[in-house]
Amino acid sequence: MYYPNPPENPRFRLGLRDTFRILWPYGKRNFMSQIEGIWFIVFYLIIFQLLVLQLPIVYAAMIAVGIFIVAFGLMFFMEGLRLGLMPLGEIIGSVLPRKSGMPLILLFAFLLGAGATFAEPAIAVLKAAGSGVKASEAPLLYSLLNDFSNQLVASVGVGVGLAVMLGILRFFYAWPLKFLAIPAVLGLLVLSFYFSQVPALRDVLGLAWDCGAVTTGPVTVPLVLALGIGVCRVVSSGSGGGGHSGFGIVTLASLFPILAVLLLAFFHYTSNDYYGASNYKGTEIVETQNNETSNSIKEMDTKLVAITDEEFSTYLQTGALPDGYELDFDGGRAELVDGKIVVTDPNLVVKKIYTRDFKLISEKTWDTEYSMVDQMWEAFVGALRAIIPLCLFLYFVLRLVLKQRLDPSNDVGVGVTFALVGMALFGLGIALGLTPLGGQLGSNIPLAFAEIVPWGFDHAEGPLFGNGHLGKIVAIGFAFFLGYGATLAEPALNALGDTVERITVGAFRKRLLMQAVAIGVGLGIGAGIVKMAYNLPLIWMLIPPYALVLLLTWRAPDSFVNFGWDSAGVTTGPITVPLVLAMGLGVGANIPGVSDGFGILALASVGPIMTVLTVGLYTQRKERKAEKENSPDPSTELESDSTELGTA
Amino acid sequence: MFNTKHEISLITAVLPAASADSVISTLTSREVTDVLVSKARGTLLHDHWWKSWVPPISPSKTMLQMIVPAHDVDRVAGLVIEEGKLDMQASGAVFSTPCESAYIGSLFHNLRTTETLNTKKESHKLSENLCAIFCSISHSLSDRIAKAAINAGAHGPVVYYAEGKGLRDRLGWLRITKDSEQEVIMVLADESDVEEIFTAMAKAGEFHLPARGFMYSLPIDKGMFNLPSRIANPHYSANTQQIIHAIDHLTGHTHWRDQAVFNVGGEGKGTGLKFLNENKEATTNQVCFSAIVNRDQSQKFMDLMLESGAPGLNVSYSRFVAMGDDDYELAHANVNHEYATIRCITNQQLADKITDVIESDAENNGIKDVCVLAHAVQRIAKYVPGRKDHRSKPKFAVAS
Repeated sequence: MYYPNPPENPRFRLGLRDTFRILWPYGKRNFMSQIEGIWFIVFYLIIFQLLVLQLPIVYAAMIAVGIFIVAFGLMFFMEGLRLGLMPLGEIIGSVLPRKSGMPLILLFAFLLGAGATFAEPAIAVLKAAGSGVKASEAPLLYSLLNDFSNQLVASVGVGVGLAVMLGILRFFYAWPLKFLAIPAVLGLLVLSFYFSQVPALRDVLGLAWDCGAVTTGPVTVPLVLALGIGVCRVVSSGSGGGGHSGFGIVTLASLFPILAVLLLAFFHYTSNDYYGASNYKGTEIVETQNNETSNSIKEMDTKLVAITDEEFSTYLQTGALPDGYELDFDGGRAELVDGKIVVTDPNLVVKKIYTRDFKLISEKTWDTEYSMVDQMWEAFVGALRAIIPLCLFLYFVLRLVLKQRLDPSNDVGVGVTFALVGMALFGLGIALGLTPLGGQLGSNIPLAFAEIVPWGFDHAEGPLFGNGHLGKIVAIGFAFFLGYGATLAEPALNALGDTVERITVGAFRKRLLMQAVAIGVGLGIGAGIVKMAYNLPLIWMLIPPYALVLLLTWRAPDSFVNFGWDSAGVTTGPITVPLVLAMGLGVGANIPGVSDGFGILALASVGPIMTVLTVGLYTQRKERKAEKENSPDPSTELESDSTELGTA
Repeated sequence: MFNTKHEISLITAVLPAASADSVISTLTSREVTDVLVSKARGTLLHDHWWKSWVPPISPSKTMLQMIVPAHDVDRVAGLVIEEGKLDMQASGAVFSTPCESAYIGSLFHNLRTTETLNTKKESHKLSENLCAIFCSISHSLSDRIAKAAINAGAHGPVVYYAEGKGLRDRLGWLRITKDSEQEVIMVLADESDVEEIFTAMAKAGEFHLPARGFMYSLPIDKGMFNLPSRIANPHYSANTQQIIHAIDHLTGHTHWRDQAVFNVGGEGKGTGLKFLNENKEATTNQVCFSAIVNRDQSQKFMDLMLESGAPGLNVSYSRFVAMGDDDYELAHANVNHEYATIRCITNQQLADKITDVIESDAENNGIKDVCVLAHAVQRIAKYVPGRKDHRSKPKFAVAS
C-alpha cells in the first residue's frame, strides 16, 4: 500500500508557526526574483556615478530605501498579476466568444482599450519629455501638449481601442500579424516622411512615435495579453496557423496611437488653430528669457571658490598659498633681457580653483523637500486609478453581461489586492529611489563631453573626456547599458516573458526573450542618444531601422513576429521612462538646438523588434539545417519492422 | 446513462505544430474521430558546450488524444502516420494505450467504427514492445530529468503543462503560496530500455524525497516514435539515429538493438543478446485513472475526487475538436469546448470508488459529457512516507 489513504482529505489546520514556515520561503523566493531583475541597473548606475563620473551619490539613504520598496512592490505586483489580473483577463477571453456575439465582443474590446489608456495616462510622461519645448520654436507641438492635451489623450485612447478591437478580430480570422504590421508601419513611415517635409509638422513626429511606445503600461499589457490568450484558447480558425497564440494586440496598440496623434496634428495644422496660427484661441504667453544668460555667468563663477580670510592670513604669515590655485597676471612692462622676457610690476591675482574630495556618499542623504506622506498618497491614488476601474469593468462584464461567476478556487480578489498594494509601493519606491538615482546620473552624463553643474552640486565640472567624440561615445555607451538594465527590471516585460514561456509550453524561454529585448532596447536608446548628441533629424533615425524591421518581419517565423512586436510595445514602462527621459533631457540641454527629449522612446521600441526577429531568423535557419541533416535518404524506406521480427 | 465500453484505446499523437493542423482537419473532416488538442514541447540538447549559455528554443509540438475502439487503432494510427509523415526522421510519435476499463458519457464522444477508412498503403507497421513513462514534476526539475533521460538513451522527452491539485487545495488561503503549474515529461521507449531510463529519471528527479512529484509508466500496445534528441552536430558525419536506422535496414531486423547490459547474479554484469524481453509481472496493483470532463465542471469533479480520497491530481487542459464541425459559428472561426483531463494514480479499489462517485454524480446531475478511463500502471516512483528518509516522519503524506 503506497498511500495511507485517509477516508477523506481534510483541510489542514496550521498553527502560526507552520503558517510562517510556508509563507517565509514563498516571500523570500519572490523577493529574490525581483532583486535578480533590478540589481543590475542599480549597481550599474551607482558604479558609473562613482567610478566613471567620480561623483558621490546624492540622497543615498533615500535611494536605498526607495529601491528596497521597489523590490517589495514589484514582488506584490507580479504575484498580483499571476493570481488576479491575468486569470481575470483569461477567463473573460475564454467566455466571451462562447456567450456573446461579434458586435458585443468588439464593443468590449474597444472599451477595454480606450479605458486602459485613461487608467494609465501617458500624458504626464509626454509632458515631461516636452518640458523644454518653447511655443515660439515648435508651436504645434506646444499646443498639442498644452492647449489640446485632452484631445491628445482622447485620440490615443481611440487609437488603442481600435487596436484592441482589430487585435481580437484577428484571432477569429487568423490573420498573420505580419500582414497587419507591415502595411501599418509602411503607412506610418510614408506619413512621417510627409510630416518631416513640413516645418510646422516636423516637431510633432517625436511626440507621435513616443505616444506609441508609452501607451501600454504594466497593468494594460498583462490584461490584454491574458484576454488574447483566453480567446485563443477556445477559438480555432479554419485556416489554421496565423494568430493562434493570443499575442499581437499589444503591437497594434502601440502602432495605432501613432497614427491617431499624427492625424490629430494634421487636423490642427489644417484648421490653423495652434499656437501663433491665425485661429488660435488660447492665451498667448510672454516668454521669459532671463534664465538663459544668468546660467552661463554662474557657470563661469562656479569653477572657482572664494579664498577665505583664514587662508589669507595663513598666506600672510607663512607665504603658503592654498592648495590648487591659479595665478593670473596682467599689466606691467615687458623687456627682453639676455634672451628672457622679464615683466616688471605686473598685477598678480591668485584664485583658488574648486576641487573636491572623492567621496562615496554626499552629505545630503535625504531630500527634505520630499514629504513621505504626499508621495505615498500620490502613489496609492495612481495605483488605484490604474487598477480598480479596469478590474471593476471586467468583473461587471463577467457577472452582468456574461452571467458567469468566478470560481471560488480562483484567488482573483487576493490577486487584485496584491496588485494594488504592489503598484502603490512600486510607485512610491520609484519616486524615492529610482528617479533620484536615475535623475542625477542622467543629468550628470553630459559631464563626459560638456562642462555642467552636476546634479545636487553648486560647482561646475569640466568635460571628463574632452568635448569631442570621445565624450559623446562614453555617453552613448552609458545609454546602452542603462537601457539594457532598466529593461530587465521592467514588470510588464517580465509578465510578457512568463506568458510567452507558458504559452509555448516552455519551448521559448523567458530568459532568452528578456535578454534579446534588453539588448534591443539598449541599442535603441544608444541610437536615441546619438540622435540627441549630434542633433540628427528623427525621420532619418526612424526610416532605416523600421525598413530593416519590415524586412526581418517579412522573413521571420510567425511566432517570433508576435513575440518581437509585442515586446517592443511593453519595453517602455515605469522604470525605463524616468531614467531615459532624465538622460535625454540632460544630454539635450547641453547640445545647442535640441529642445525636447522626444524620439528616444520611439527608437527604444524598434531595437527589441530587431533583436527578437534576428534570434527568430537564426533559430529558423538552424532548425532548417538540422531538419535537412536529419531527413533520411528517400531511397531507404524507414519502417519499424519489429512487429515482424522483433518478437520472433 | 453511461456506456461502459471495453476494448477502448487512447491514441496519443505528438506532432510538430506545423503538420498538426492538417492531421486534425483530416481526422475531423473525414469523420474518423474527435480529437483533444493540447500543446507540448520537444526537448533538444545542444552538443556544443558554448551553446549551453543560450537557452534552447525547443521545438513546439501539438499533442492529439483520441479515444477509439481497440480494433480501430491500426487504421487511425496509420492515418495519423500518413498525414503527419511520421515515417520521416524526427517528426513525431503516435501510440495507443489500452484501457482496462472505460466509461464514456453518451454525449461525450462519438465512437465510430471506421469501416470507410482506407489508408493508402498498409506499410506502417507499429511496434508492440513499447512503454510510455510519465513524470510529473515542478518546472525547475524538468531540464535535469529530461537530460538524464536522454543520456540514458531516450529520445528528447515531450513535455506538457499540467496543474497539480491536492496538497495545495487543502491549505486554505495559504494556497496562493503554491504555484500549481507542473510539467509532465513523457518519454517513449522500447520495453528493453525502459527500466534503465525509468531508473535514470527517478534518480535525477530524487523522487525518494518528499514533494518532488511522481512518475509512472504505462504499457503501450502499439506505437511508433521518431523523435529527435540532439541538434545534429555538423561535425558528425551522420547522427546516431541515422546510423541505427542504417543498421536496422542492413540487418533487416532490430534484434541487435536488444543487446543490453544485464545482471548475471551477484555483482556481475554481462553484455549479450537478450532475445526475449522479460515479461514483467505487474508489480503494483496501481492504476492510472483519468477523467475527461468539461473545463467548466472540472473544479467540481476535482473536489469530488479529492473528497473521495484521491491523493493528488494532475490536470491538463485541451481543446476539443469535434468531427464534421466545419461550419463557422463566429466570424471565421470555430468556438471549441475545452476539456480537462484529470489524472491520478491510485490503487484499484480507490479507483473503482472514485469511478462510482463520478458516475453517480454525473447521473444525478445529468452531465453526459464525461469520460473515465483507467490504465494499468507498470512502474511507479514516488515519495513514500517513512522510507529512505531519515528525518522525523512527516505528519501527513505528501502526494504531489
